[in-house]
Amino acid sequence: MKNGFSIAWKTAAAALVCYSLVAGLAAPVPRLFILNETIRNLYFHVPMWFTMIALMGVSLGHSIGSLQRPGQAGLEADQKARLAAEVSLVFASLGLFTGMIWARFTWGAYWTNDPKLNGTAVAILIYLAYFVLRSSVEDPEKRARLAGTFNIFAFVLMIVFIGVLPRMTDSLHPGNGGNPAFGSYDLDSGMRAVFYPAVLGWIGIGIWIVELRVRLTRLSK
Amino acid sequence: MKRWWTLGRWALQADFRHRAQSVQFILFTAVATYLVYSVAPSPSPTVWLALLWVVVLFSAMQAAFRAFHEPESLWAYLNQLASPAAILGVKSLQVAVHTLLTAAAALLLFGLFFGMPESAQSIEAVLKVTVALMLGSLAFAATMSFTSALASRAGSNPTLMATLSLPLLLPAVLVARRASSLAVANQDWAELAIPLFGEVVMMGLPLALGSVLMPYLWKQ
Repeated sequence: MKNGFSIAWKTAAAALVCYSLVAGLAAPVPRLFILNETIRNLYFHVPMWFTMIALMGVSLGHSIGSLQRPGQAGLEADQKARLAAEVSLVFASLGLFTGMIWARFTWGAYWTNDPKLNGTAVAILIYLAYFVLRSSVEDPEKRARLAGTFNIFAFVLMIVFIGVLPRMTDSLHPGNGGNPAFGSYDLDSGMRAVFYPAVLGWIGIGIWIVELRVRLTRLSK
Repeated sequence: MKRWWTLGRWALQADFRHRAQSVQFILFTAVATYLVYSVAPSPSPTVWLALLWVVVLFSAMQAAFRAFHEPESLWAYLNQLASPAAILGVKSLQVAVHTLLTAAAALLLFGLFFGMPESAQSIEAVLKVTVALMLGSLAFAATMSFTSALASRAGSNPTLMATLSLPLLLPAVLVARRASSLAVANQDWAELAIPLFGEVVMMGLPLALGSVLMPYLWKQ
């Protein structure tokens, strides 16, 4: 039963990503000033952020588990937290890369002083600091405890930063600072039909990659 | 509560006993300000503010690192006397006092060397800048107290503390920058209210999180 469910969600995730890749490039999109065809980046760039946050949430959950469970179970949870954080950083890099390319052609620069871009930089720097912390402690139990507390502390501050602060200031991103939002008139039903499956599919693929990495780590031991 | 008082009194006594070390933050601030003055004697208001925050941030980081830089034997003794949350609370207060002192010194020295920016010459504007600076400094102190505790558990490495603190401080820095920019421009208190509240949140959140996580972090 468990095996059947596992196969079902992985197949569904792969199918949703394949669908979003094809539909994302081929399906019709609204014709908007400046954005033009680059509006398709919504299907590829934004799901990376959703996946990054989801995997950071997975990492947080395992960190909480590692602090609550003593011994081997705690160490295993810590290992999962590390692997989820590593995969989330890959998605963060992909999100950053796709965003920078889009920004170059839409805003004229690869990087701007935008609250969302600052949020991204903070998220990536926080998780790089998490790995630095891990590498500076030898004892596995102590490492699990310190990394777990840092992960929880950092995740909450990061969510406040990327969730709340951009709303306090103007942003060049669609939907902020008077710029037209995808959610208002740009994102018609056709775009929603591609965007949401893409988000779900990529989150599923991200969790699958974490699961594979956990199994690979177990095997290598 | 009695334990808090005892720990607080000890921290004060330790500061007094090592007063040369306590004064070194002020000296660091003075040297840093003079260095900045010799490089850029007449900065624009934006640069003035940025330099002020940089000086305050790095002085505060030193203060925070020192607060948790104690010998293992002393920690073993303190752990028998008070809970981890109480230790964090008292140490955070100690860091907050040091940070406020360095921020006040930095503002005074910047006023002395550079003068206040043109838009912030009135007493009301100076008061606004002071409030924004003090609240921002407290937000720094709250975050750095926890990261300093973490770094001390990981082997008291100052570089590690800076590595852990700086990304976590960016939100507080950005909120503080916004509040202080409005203060320097002498905006109304009503305009300042939201960024100042943001600074209070950036101070309260790390304290609340730290007190919940400290027992796990401090476990031997």
